[in-house]
Amino acid sequence: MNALVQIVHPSDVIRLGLQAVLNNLPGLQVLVHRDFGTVCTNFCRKNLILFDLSLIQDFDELKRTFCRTKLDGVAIAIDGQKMTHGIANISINTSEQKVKELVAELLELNSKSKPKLDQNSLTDREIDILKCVAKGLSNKEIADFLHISIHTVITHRKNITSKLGIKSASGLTIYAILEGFLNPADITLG
Amino acid sequence: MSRVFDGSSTMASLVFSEYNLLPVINRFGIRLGFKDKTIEQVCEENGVETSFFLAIVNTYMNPNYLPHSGLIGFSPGLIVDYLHKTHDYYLNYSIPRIDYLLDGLVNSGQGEGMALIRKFYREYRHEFFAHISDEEENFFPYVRSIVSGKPNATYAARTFEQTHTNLDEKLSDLRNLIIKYLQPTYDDNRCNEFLIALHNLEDDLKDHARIEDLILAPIVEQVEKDLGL
Ligand SMILES: [Fe+2]
Ligand SMILES: [Fe+2]
Repeated sequence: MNALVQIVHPSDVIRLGLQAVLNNLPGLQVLVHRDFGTVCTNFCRKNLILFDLSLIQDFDELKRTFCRTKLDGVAIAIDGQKMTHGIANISINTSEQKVKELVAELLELNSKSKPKLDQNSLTDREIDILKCVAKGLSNKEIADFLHISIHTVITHRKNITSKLGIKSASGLTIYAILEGFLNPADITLG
Repeated sequence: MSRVFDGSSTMASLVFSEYNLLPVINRFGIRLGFKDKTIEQVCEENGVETSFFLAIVNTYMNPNYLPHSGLIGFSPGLIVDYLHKTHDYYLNYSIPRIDYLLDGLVNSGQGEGMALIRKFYREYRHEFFAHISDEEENFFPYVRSIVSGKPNATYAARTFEQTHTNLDEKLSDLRNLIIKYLQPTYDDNRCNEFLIALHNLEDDLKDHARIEDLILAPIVEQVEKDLGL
């Protein structure tokens, strides 16, 4: 079991209904509670809590107490209740398929296929560094220019190389031009 | 780790297991037409030291393989001869062939990408020649001088270890750029031929550098110690 989902809801029907839906998802352990008093706080795995919207303060407090862990929540609203921003929501009318998709997405259960591409694309900061490398700046010059430490520059460069499979400065320059991060007029090649 | 060969395997089975060994075998002056002769027999007929031949081919096939026992026993002169022949192979065959295939590839495509690839390769080619000349003009003569007992004091194994650069890195960059990022405006068959030639050179260079760094340099260092240098 690589993820734990807990359902906190005073309504037996909603609680047990959701449990039945989520039990079909592989790799999940599902626990149910009437209130936050009995919620399992051993957050060493991936965690998700589905709770009744009226319990949002309890959820926020739990999050504050265990602020170091990544803890996602989904608020369950009865129709007509105002949805809260900043947190995922489902309502009493949400379809079984949608609930499963949402839970799988939040727990990154499908991480094999989709996020791979995201992992390999460069972050904005890495693109800043890449542009500097392509312009022929040294690590020291990049550090001064971006107001970061040389150590940070080196770490970024390592990450860029492991994402792209390109090690040399001239190889990175060509990558930057091919991908449109740089105008060839901006640089002098070798 | 793939199979480790010994002198009793047939020479033909060695070739069947790894076609990229063909030029390696040629460097020892060994040519095809082995019948069912063993590696040991073929080596003897060609005046090649079997244990050295095995060390070279096994290192080629298994990057982690190092001939522990007897490593120090190889004459540095023998290794330098082999490395020199490898350089000849690169200069007279691999590089001209890649030049030719790249021309075909670039001329079959269009756009700025092709020009950038050509530029990158030209830069690399320049570094490649400088690397080889440095070894041929400084390191190898030094090793030969040490073997002859009249060491030339201007060089040392440490100098080599500190300045030896990596020649396969940019080839791997080039391969990544073409396979992952270059717009395919070119003729596919020409590109494939180019990539395969590039890949073969990259593999051969990795092996070549392993012999220089992990076999030759430590042996030379040992000889320096023995001579009290
Ligand atoms: Fe070399
Ligand atoms: Fe070398």
